[in-house]
This record gives sequence, C-alpha cells and structure tokens, in this order.
Amino acid sequence: MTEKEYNRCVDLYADGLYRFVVKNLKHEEDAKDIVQNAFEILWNHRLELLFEKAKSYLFTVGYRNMIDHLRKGKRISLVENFAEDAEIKYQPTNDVKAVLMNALQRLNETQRSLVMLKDYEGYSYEEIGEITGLNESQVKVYLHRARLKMKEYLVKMENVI
Amino acid sequence: MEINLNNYEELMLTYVDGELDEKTAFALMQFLNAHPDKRKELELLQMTVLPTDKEIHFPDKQLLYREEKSTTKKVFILRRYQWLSAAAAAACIALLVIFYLHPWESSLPASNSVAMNKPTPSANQPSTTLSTIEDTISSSIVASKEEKKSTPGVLAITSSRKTLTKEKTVMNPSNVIPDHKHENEIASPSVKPDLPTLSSPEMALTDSEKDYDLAVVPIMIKEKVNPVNEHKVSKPSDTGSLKSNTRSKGQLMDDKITNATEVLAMAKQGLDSSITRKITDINQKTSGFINNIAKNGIKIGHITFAFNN
Repeated sequence: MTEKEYNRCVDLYADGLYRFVVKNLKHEEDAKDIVQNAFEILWNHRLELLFEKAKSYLFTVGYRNMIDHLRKGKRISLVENFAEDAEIKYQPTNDVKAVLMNALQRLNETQRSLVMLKDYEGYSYEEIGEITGLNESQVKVYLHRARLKMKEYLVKMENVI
Repeated sequence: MEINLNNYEELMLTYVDGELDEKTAFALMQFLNAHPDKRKELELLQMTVLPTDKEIHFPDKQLLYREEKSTTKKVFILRRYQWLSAAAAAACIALLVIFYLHPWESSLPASNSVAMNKPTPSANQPSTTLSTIEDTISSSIVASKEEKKSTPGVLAITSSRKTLTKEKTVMNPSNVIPDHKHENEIASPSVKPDLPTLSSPEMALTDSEKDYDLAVVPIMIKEKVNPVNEHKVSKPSDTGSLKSNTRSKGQLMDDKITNATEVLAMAKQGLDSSITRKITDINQKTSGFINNIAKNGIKIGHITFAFNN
C-alpha cells in the first residue's frame, strides 16, 4: 500500500471506524485514541498490506483495542444481559432511531460490535469473523441473538408507546 | 430447502442480514405468504437494522494523514542544500569583492608592499613593479654606501627606522647587541642634536611618507643589501663617526639623504601609479571579473590571489 492509498484509507474509513468505536465506548477521546492507534499500526504495516484489505485490517485492530479497553473497565459499564426482568428504564419516545440506539446500548460489546459491523459497514459473516476472531457460525448465532433482543426491546417500546 | 415453523426465524434473521441466497429467500417469501402472522416478526427484525449514521465524523483527520519520511527528508535536505548554496555563494562574492578590490592598498601602501614581498608561486604585475622600484632604491642606497660606508645620512635613515633594526635583528642574530647599542645611542639625548638633517626643511617628510619609507627600506635592505654592508651600517663604530661628523661630511650626508629621499619619493610615485593603474584595470574588468576569476582561478588554500593584468 502506498502513501497515497494510506491517505485514501483515512478519507474512506476514519469516520466509520470512529463511529464504530465511539458508539461502543461512549467516550470520544478514548475512541479518538483508538482510531489514531489503528491508523498508526496501518501506516507501520502499509508495505505488507493491500489497499483492499486495509479496511478489514483497520477494524480488526480497532475492535481488538476497543475490547481491551472495555475489558479493563475504565470508563464504561456494560449491560451484559438483556433479560425481560433486567433493569431497563423505558424512555418514551417517538423517535424510532433513538429507540433503536437504546436497544443497541443494551447489548453486550460483542453483540453490539457485530450489529454495527453488519449494519454500518456491511461486512459478511466471514469478514466479521476475521475482524472479531470468531468463526462464521459464532458470528451468525451471536448476531441473531442480538437482533432478537433488539426486536424484543422494540416490541416492549411499542407496547409502552 | 424446506421452510417450516422450526427454521423460519433463523432464515428471517439471515434474510435481514442479507446473507440468504435468492432461492432460499424466494422460498421464505412463499412461507410468509402462507403464514401472514409471521410477516410482522420479519418487519420487527428489519427495524433492528441500524440506519446509516453519517453524523459522526472523526474530529481531526489531519492527525491521521501521513507523508513518507524519505520524501520529507529529501525536501529538508534540498532546502538545507539550497540555503548552504546561497550562503556559499554570498561568501564567495564577498571574498571576491574584498580581495579583488584590495581596499587596503589605497589606505595602507606600506603594509601592501610588505605583503607583496611575500614569496608567492605566481608573480603578478604589481609585485614585479614593486621589485623594480625596490631594486632601484636599493641599488641607489648601496651605491651611496659604497662611496662612503659610514655615511651619516644613510645611518640616520637606517637608525631612525626601528623597523629596519628589528628586521636585521631577526635576520642576523649576531647583530643583536650592536643593533641595540646603536638604537640606544640614537635614542639618547646626546645624539639628537647631531641629526639635524631629519628635521631640516629639505628632508622634512610627512608622517605618511615616513610610514611609507619605513616599510620600503627594510624590504630592500633585507633582500638586496649585502650582509657585510648591512652589518657595517649598523655597527656602533659607524655611529661613532656620526657623532664626529664635520661640516663637509654633514653636507655630503645631506646630499645623500636628499638623493635617497628623492628615490623614495619616486618609489612612492611608482607605487601610487601602480595602485592607480591597478584600480583602473579593476574598474574596467569589474563587469567581467567572474569570468576572469574562473579563467585564472583562486588558490584559497595557500592564500594566493593572482591577478592577471
């Protein structure tokens, strides 16, 4: 990958990676640091990489850094379970997007990451598996569970509304 | 693939994810047409797909853009090279101006004549002119000394030039003691009344002329005067004859000094004309001096600047 291609990656993927990370971390500065670190690593390995693989590489590095950051438990507490009896505070709203974001935030970081990689970036099960280190079947199962949880949340919100 | 109530949900989820092949997707649509109550589930699952979010942007992409270090280094080196080139060019021009115009020549002819007397591999015209003048002066004075080796006038000139004494002292260490004695005698108050010629109207020299002579005389003595004669000139016994000079000897001494002064004046004129001619030549060649220097070259290592006139 050339210098020009690297800078093209910045134009194409910096926003998506940042969005992916910041919605998981919910902390802008940490997300910014992780994105910078991912591009730093991409730059250092640019000669070994093809431009076509750069996006997957960036998200792989970003995802792993993000998971490490989350597991250190520094700035965020996760909602691990999305059971019906979970302490969910329903916030009445007519904004479907806001409801959906609330549903997303009630997923664990792996499920949330899978949904975002699928919906925002359009990755396939296989590509998501490469990024997250899961096999394709795991990706499929985790992603389906996440969608079912979100659907349940939407149904509950519909009932509340 | 047969679609039933046990597998329809997974197929719907796969369909929502966009991973269901067309054939299976067509079969799923047929199943949903047969089971309208399940279509609502599909719509809810489709609502879980996150909409495109273009509102979030990385705050400062300038932090991410990179430039090859080698390119940066090349640019930096190029800039530094250009700066050095400019500095070197300025220094060369300054050196050329300084050494080509010889600003010290017009103000300090004496030091110039000394500098010209330094041995240089390439003889140039000004030094040749000076050598001719010095030869004339030295031959005249040596001739006068041969006529009368103890001529007070020559002694007066020689003894009044401390520079000459110092030059001789350096050249011939055996003369250290006599020279110092000689200086002491000349500098003593008892001798001063015996040297009226130096303050006489015909021998009166301006300060600049004295300075000029101070430089010229040591050079010609050092190069041309026989060491034996030189020794005799500075002998204390000669100063003894100076003390006991008669009126006729004093007059003869005045004549000799006058001759020497005239020769020195001629030398000064020769130097002045040489300098004037040289400056004129330089002015004429100022426009093309770079080509001239390129043709002749400058040896900075030996501090030799040759001028091709």
